[in-house]
Amino acid sequence: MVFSSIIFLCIFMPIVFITYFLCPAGLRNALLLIASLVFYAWGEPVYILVMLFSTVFNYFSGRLIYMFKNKLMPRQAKIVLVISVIESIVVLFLFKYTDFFIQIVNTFSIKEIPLMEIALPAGISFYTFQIMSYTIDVYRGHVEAQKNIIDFAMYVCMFPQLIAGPVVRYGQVVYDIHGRKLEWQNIALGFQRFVTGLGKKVIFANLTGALWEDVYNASAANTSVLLAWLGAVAYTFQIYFDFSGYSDMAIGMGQMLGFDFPENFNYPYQSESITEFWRRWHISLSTWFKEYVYIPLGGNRKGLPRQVVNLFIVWVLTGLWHGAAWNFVIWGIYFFVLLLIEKWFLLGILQKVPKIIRHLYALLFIVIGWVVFACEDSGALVSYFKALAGAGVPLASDFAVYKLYTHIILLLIMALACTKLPKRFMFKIEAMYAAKHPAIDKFYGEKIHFWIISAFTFITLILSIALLVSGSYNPFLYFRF
Amino acid sequence: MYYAGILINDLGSFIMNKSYKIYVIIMFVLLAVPGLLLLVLPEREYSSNENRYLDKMPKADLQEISTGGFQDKVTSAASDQFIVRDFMMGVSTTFKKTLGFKDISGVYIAKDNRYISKITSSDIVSDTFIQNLMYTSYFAEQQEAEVYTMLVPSPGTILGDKLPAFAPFYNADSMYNTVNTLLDTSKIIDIREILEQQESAADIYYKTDHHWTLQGAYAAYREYCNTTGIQKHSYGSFNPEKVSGSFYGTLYSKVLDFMAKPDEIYAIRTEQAESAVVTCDGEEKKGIYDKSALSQKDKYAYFFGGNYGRMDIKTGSSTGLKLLVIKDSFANSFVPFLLGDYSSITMIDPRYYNKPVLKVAKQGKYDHILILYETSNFAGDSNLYKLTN
Repeated sequence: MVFSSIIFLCIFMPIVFITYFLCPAGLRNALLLIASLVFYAWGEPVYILVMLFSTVFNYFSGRLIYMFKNKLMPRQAKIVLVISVIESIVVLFLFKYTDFFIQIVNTFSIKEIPLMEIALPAGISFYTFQIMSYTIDVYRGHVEAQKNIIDFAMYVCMFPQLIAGPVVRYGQVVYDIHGRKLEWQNIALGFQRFVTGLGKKVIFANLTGALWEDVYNASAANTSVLLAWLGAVAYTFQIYFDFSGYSDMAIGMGQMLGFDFPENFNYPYQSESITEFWRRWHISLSTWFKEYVYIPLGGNRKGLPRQVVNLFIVWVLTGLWHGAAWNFVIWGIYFFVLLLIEKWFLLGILQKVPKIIRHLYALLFIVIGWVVFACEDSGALVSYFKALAGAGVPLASDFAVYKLYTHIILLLIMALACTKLPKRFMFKIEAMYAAKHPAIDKFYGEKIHFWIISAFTFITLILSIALLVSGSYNPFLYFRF
Repeated sequence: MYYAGILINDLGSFIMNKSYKIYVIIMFVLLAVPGLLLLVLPEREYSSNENRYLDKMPKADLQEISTGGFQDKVTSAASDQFIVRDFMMGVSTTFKKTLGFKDISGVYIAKDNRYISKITSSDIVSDTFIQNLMYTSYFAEQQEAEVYTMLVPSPGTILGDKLPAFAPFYNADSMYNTVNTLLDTSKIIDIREILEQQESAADIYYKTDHHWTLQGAYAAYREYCNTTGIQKHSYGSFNPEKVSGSFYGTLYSKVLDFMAKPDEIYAIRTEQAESAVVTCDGEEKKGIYDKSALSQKDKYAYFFGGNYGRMDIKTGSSTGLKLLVIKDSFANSFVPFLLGDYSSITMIDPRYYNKPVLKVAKQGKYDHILILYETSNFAGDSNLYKLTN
């Protein structure tokens, strides 16, 4: 099931949430688990068994590790950990990377092995990473093993973040499993957050995604430098609003249910360097790789050459996590190189130039990175870069001009929405009003602010439903995960 | 004072809590009501606006659930059966227009409250087009009668100045050149010039529909007469009258724009139009017009009741001449002008006709044969192979 669908919004959500609010606290975890299984089974009626298998397998692994640790048998604990991590990796590899691996083998072998074309179960990249973080954290002694299989399964399968993150580590929600309370404030603010995410996805991401599709599929006659850059910018917006919108929906729904999920995006396009970008983009993933790959490999504590190697491994894996194709590996290495250069000397130089130059530098390389990310076909990638550089392609085309002026308003609104400016502007207006009418502000300020945001969410919800019903372009970019 | 401070604080959070509650309830009702109605209300069968049957909720079937097919059907049914669906589509269109979008669902939002079908070069499959020309050429070659071909320009071709600036549209000129080169066995009636001339005087294409108006069809009729030698009559002699002022056509249906203004439909009022006997796929009717269409959504079906595989018209005229028209829906508003010039007119629409067309044409001993299509329809039609049987 997809959040941005009538089925989810008008049937699943009301039923599940209203039942959840009314049901006794002790039954909430079981209810959430059942709802999540229905949610997942809807989209993956067969492969839900894979997720259930991994869940049960790692439930027992966690308990065994914990038991062995308590019995001061660290070697046995380690063996179980290794087995459980291998299970997760094997499952992920099997469903996601088999054909990629076969393709690599085929380039070297004489006999061509046929591709297996195994379907990719939704969310597998997210839930296997969550499961791995759990068993590793139990082994490390950061958390106790979860004894209740319902509670554990609920953590793994919870529908808000199951399909597209954030990657929630067990330690971040262990208190919420039993300690969470329902509060009207959280339900209301969580819902506002959810609708904001819905709007980002259905209004921004889908509409700009259609623009990207038109550019990507444009005939040779219509191609131009202007069109190529327009498309790159469109994709840059699409992937941000798609992914951060989904995270907003997940965090918002989590908040409604009483959970406190970690933030996943922090205005990444306001970054002034690539280093900063990766502190603001898909935060839960980079944190995961740092915690469970970079630091165990030694991080920066084993000398400079080893640090470079460790970084390289992390970035190749990060690229691969996003997709089983070479362009994703290149994308990962692309950032590895940039980060290295920045660390080496570029950050020092950047400090001395005006802020606007830093922003432009970061945005340029972010956008170029997304083009690599977007073009899975190597032929398409090469010709797209040729178009960006203006090799054998006119500067502008009628098609490009048409696409630009019909989308310019949307592009400007999205650019604004990537920044903190709208929020800051609103606070400024409110502060001005509060200074003029202190009494009203004291008693009603919070209320007025809340209802202004609420009105905005009301409009966003209506518009989103209108766009969904009108059958507009509604693909889900991250379903490959 | 201290307690007053606490009281104000508590009152504040009490008031806020109430706001939170009210908001949550309103929003959940807003979401739950359409969902409830989806499950409870009887389903809509057919959307006259979209001219298609709406998807309905499927029956639960274990096999289908395991493949995901059931879920897909439910998802599309939820969208199709949504309670205020047409209104939502209007909201979507208004929003996109506000953003400055100039094409929505394959329709250009053109100047003067006009909608124009968006047909780009990627919509024209060259291979199909050329193949259709070859079929037509073969068909014409096999006939003793003179075969005329009239490919009606797309609205976007003639009304290029009304399209949004820089809007992509297929290159019709190169296509007509190809027609002239490849279709050498048929006499080609090129109506581009006369339509261009007419364009400033009156609306030759509907604003909300992809068809041409009576005026457009009349201009084509004049050119037809020039080529075939049939005597032209003035527009006024056909007694054109307005039969509807509330025609919302096919292009409107694609966008459901709140701001759309309806078209007027004019039709000729002649004796033959009233008294002709029309046999549509076996069923006999009197008169060429279907009055019931005027109270439905698709008012263009007023002309002959729509498209049939085969229509035979006994016009009541005494010229003794026989005409065969192989056509798409554009011929429906054109043929009425010729009722006085032929004793019998046969119209065949290859999309719905499965008998061997070539044989029918030869055996019918027609005096004139006309192939009448809108250009992009002709280029994409997959039924023209029937002309070779």
